[in-house]
Amino acid sequence: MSVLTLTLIQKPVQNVDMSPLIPERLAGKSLETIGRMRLSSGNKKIAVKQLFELEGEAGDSLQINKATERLELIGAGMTSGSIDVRGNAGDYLGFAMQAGRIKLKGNAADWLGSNMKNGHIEVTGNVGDYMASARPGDPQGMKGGVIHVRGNVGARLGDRMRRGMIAIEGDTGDYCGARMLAGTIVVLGQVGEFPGYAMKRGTLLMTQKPVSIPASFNFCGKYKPVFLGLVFRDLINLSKSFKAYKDFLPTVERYAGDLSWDGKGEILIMHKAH
Amino acid sequence: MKINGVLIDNTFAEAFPMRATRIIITAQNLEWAYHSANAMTGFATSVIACGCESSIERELKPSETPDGRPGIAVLLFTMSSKDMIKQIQNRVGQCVLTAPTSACFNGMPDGDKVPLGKNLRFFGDGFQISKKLNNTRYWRIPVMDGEFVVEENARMSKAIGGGNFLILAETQEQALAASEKAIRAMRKIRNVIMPFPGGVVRSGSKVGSKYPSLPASTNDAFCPSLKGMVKTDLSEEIGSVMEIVIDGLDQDSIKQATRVGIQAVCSLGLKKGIHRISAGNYGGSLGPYHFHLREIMS
Repeated sequence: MSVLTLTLIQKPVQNVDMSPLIPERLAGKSLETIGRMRLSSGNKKIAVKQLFELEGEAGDSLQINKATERLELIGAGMTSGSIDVRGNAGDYLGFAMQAGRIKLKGNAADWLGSNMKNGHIEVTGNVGDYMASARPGDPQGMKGGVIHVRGNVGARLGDRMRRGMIAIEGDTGDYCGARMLAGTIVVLGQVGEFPGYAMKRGTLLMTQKPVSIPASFNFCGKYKPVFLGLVFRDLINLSKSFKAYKDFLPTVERYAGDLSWDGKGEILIMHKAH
Repeated sequence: MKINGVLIDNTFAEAFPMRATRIIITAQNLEWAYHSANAMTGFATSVIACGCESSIERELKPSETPDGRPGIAVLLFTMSSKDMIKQIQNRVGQCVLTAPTSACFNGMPDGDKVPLGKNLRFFGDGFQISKKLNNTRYWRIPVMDGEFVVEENARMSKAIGGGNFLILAETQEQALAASEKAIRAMRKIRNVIMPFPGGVVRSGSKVGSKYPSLPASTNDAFCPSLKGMVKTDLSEEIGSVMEIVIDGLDQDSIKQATRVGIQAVCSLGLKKGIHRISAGNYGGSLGPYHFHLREIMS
């Protein structure tokens, strides 16, 4: 497997649009050709070689070293291959991604996985606001695929999310899963205020009660949902943290809502293993 | 050909194309998975009057099932895709949906889609919830014990029904003991079922009858009590005949099941009253699959 490595040599003054640098667009090109490619940065264009030191061979794998939050739209629209980012990433990592895999060893800014259609994103650190959400004017946010965050995530996670799986090992901010259309969000840490606000369908699965539950959610009792076995079967492949839940198939408290929006969504609060 | 003193007839079993699916039933424990699977595969011995042929293929460990609970794999065979749709809907709807703690999944890796929970979901009366995980859609239907989870579609493939062999013994007890031993060995083979009660059929049939309305009637040539009345296929010492019918997903699986079944019978040998192994066919003109006993056992 050929890997092209881009190591940042100078921190850009303004944000840089990294969307041209995806494996399928670079595959087969020489380092010189790639070095001459120009990236938008504010009202200027900067050659790739001015920002990065290039090594290796362009194929289905790309590695970005010493990344900073100035690098936005990493992996945007990618349809194949993998991108390994070391450092921090700017806004819109994996925006409208269609397939492939992005792994970020660091933190990401806002709008990670927004409009994502498929593929897999893993973040070892924290993520900002609006992860997997719809941009203003867009009818739907994340439409498929898997996002796994080992750290914490900010507010408005999964706003207008349509489909897919989000697994958060840390905490999330307010309005988690707000206006959600469908899909599954699993949070092992603490969830902020108003989760599922105006959600239409979908599942918010938590290990502890959120800071508050909107008044338009109705408590529907406790039970053992069999489908969690299916959910955790996939999640244990992401992290050992989910293993305990697969083994004992937890009892959940079910809150159905948002009743102001049809009430076909749900907040499921798992009881810890004992 | 003789094995342990048992004559293997130079004949063949004649089998027919069918459609088949594998359904996985899981439950809180194996006991309840069996309750559901036994109900679903009840009254499913022959397509002649049951609409399908179905039986339990094997037990599944929790690690082998989609939801990580103990399960049972059921194979179901029909003569057409249309029959399959109807049989799945009726049997899963009445025997799996109704069984406490059960869930139901597709067990075939590929093949044509056939509705499993796609129509059953309407039992949820609008409260059913769809969940798409790993490109597979499941339905969660609220029921009185909690929730019934069912995969949206099963898969069906081309299959073969009607593989068989006959065990010819001196007494009924000996024929049955040999049949039981054969079935124990054959149940270890995957992709096949023996759909008759206990895996054994004692009322083998021939095509036609003296009564015009009956399409099939008793196989008089193999009835020991008619030896003096008809053109019998039994020698004087044969007092009882049992048949084992095999439906399978492919020819190799049926051959393997036939082989281990006959081996088990022959291990008892002539000393235990087993004289011959034969097979049922219609002259080879009806079914496209021919399982030649001597070829399989050589």
